[in-house]
Amino acid sequence: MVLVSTLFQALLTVLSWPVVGFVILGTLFGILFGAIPGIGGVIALTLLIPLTFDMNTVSALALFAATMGGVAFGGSVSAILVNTPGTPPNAATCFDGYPLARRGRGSEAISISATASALGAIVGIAVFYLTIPVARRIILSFAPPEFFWLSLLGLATIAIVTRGNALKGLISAGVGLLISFVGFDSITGTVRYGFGIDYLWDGVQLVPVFIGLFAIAEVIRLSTGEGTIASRGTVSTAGSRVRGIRQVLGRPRILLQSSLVGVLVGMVPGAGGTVSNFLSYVLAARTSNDSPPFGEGNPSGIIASEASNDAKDGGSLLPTVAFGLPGSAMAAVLLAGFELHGLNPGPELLSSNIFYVFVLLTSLVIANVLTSVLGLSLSPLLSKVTTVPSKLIAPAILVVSLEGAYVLRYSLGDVFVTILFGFLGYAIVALDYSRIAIALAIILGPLAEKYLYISLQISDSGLGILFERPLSLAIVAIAILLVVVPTAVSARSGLGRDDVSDWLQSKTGVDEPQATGDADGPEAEEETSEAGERGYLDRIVAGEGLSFDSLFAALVFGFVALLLAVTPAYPADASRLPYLVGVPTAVMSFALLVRTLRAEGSTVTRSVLATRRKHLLAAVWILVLFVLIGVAGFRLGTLLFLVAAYRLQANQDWSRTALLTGSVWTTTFLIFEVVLRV
Amino acid sequence: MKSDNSTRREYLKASAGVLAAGGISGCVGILGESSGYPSNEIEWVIPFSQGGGFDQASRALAEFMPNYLPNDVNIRPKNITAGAGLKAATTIHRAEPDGYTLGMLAHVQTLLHQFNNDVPWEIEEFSYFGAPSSSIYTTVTGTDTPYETVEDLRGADGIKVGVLRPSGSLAISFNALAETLDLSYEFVSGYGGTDELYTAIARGDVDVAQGAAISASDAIEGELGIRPLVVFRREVPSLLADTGVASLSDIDAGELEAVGGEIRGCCAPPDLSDDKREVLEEALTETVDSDEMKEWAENTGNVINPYTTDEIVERIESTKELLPEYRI
Repeated sequence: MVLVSTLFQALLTVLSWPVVGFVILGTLFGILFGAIPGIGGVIALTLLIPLTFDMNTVSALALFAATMGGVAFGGSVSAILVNTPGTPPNAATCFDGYPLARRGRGSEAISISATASALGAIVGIAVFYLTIPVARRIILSFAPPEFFWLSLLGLATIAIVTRGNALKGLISAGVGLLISFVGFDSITGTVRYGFGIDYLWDGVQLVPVFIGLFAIAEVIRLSTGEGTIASRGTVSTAGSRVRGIRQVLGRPRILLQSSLVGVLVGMVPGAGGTVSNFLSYVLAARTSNDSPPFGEGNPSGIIASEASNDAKDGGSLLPTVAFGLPGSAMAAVLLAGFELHGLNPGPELLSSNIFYVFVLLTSLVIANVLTSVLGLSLSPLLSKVTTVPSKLIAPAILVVSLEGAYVLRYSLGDVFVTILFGFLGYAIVALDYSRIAIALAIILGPLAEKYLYISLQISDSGLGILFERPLSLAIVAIAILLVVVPTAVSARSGLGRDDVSDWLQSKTGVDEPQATGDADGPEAEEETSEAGERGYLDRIVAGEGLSFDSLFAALVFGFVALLLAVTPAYPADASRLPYLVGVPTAVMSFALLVRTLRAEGSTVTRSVLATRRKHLLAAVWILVLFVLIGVAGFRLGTLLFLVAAYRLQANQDWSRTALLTGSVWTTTFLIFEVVLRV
Repeated sequence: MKSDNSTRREYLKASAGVLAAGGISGCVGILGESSGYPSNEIEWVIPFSQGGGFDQASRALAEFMPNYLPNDVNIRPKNITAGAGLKAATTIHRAEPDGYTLGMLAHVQTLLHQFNNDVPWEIEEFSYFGAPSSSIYTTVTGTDTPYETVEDLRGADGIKVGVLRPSGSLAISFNALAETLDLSYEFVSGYGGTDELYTAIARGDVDVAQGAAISASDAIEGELGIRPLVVFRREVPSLLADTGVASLSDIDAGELEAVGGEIRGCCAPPDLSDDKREVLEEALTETVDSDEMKEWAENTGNVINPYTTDEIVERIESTKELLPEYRI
């Protein structure tokens, strides 16, 4: 009863002025930070905390919690509208949110996200509230062996994702894992795969990777200059909000299942919000029979990702509040906010100071309701973004994305990595590898290595420790169920390619046919250009002699071989997993290379050739932007680029060029320098 | 018609005038620059990640120190975390000594990098201007272990000791304790932070852990069941008073204080001009003594125990002497 009355008191406090004002402010702040790729909740909270020095504790907590709530939804907006996750945990929302937006139903997609986010957050907070009495037992149940298996469970979803194109998917995962090993290894004090480059000491940062794989790859696609994001050039907004709400309420099982996955995985320190989202998405894909297929704009895909994403915040608060053990990166920064306001995690916070915990929770709930209301209100307006001509929006997305990557550490190296992964993302999608596999592997690789290392040290039975604990065995069982059982079922029923990998691979952002070497048929023969008439660039673009597939396979094999070649120089503890991952990846990539080289000679249609030329030109423009930034600085460099892009590439007259450049540049300046002050 | 001597005198006068003007303008330039320093935004390099002790102290300085600088400029903190301070030190060392790149270094960890890696600097080269605080290491155990005092660790076989890195400053400090008390132990390393270490104790994965006193005092009051065994100071600091923890004096190991915590040394690249160093020393001293900094420390549970430049240099020397004995 005391808990209930304290909860009620906290609710009344949060709804009173000025606290509710801070909730509104934090929500708006969080949405903005979440929507801009590369910014996100960690930076938002880091900037807010010192500003709250002179604030009273209740207002400060309300501001923090509301910001957390706003970030999750904000990230989904950019994921849906421009296929660019605002934060890594929103990546799974791209898979179905963007296809739905491309069908002109962006408003409905945002409404789905807004509704699922709010309801998922409520579930997460409710579970948090109910588990307070058993918090200690839950959190202490998870030891390094369980964390290791959870990491592998996340990696197992790669197997589900890629089984339709197993070899390339597994190679993607292997490459992702190897990339995750780059940098300073704190266990052995070794810098792995640094090649004398200072930048690589820190390893490859996650934010530039995500922005590159999703945003920059999308910019290349949009730069063909034709049409709009919404494939028909129009959006359907009438009744979209009600439809969106109904989509969510009509799928209670997916909603509840995804929320529970989010909150439970969120409770496990170090498991990561991105893992919970992908797990939730894959689980929904496995257990849902509705249409359209996942990856083609299925509302269940958006619900699964967003409900999980918001529920995890409630889950991650539990270890944070109970032990000062952050359940997520945002929670880690939130701890600093606690300390600033004299709140120490532990029994005191969960007993005599539980009021403040309830302030945090109720603020989070209200913020999520607010984001839902805002999202539903603004969804028709926001969806108009998808009707802007691609050639006009592509430079804007490029500039905002690269600035998001830049302000992370004010590092041109991060910008370069973003662009590099953008090209890689484009190639991955065009050649049927797996972006998800790479992204998941980069996140999970370090976790798996860390917890394996710790497990072996605390063990008296060597690797046996991984199989001794009931909770470990339960996680292994779940992984097997997720991967093996459906395979057995589909094999027994005579089904062909796995549906999950079909949808997830079909979320390509590339319009062109996957014609890396195959003729398109009789008509294509008539259209095919004679090789002798084309110049060197055309031959590269056409992929003759060495197809794109072979070239990329050769690059991949070369990359893996290079890393393996230098691995012997590292201590045993630092080279164990690189060998374990690198050797099979090298074998697989070599096998793929041989296969692609043996493939029949290719012919390419004029339309494919033309599209590839445009994509190549887009890549050149991106490099021009990078050079301009390097030479002239970020502000002047982006200004010059926008002028050139709108005038020369988008063929706008000078007045429109000035207007567009001024609008994009000024908006970016205001957002980053004035509002966000990053 | 002028004589040759007259021409020569005029030439010499003109030359002297030019030289004098050049000298005066140069002096004015230097003075002008000093009296105008700082005139641009200052970048502050933080060697560890957000939320930790170094980050908190750095951001507090970034917040309050501009109030005590001669001109109104911002200090922009920047976390450079690669290599546990290695990259941060190198970044500071490589920067221009113009006073616009400053940072904070952990003296023990920086010395370890100097010993263990091929670095292009030596720790004494940096231009120090003081330190607001230092961390204090503490050895802790669980309340459900048989170790109630540090003496109980003697004779125990193969104590599992949780540390962040097997060759980091926390590990060095415990190794020093172990050699002093003749303890049998093995490290369990790879943890991401002291909060993970204390959870590992609560789970029983490790027997003891080496962490900072501030986080230890929080954990002691928390639900994880943590008991402090020894604090690496000659006297028990107030934040661990009445916990039953032993000081280094209690175990006749006072010299281990040199490796018992990190001084958060504020520094600039080598060869910073004395004028600018004075400006920074004065600003740092005033900041540390300010009411706002004290209020920040009280609110956040941080401890302000400042060091002068000379004290930093002295501590570096004593640590440098001791480290080779306890390096792993």
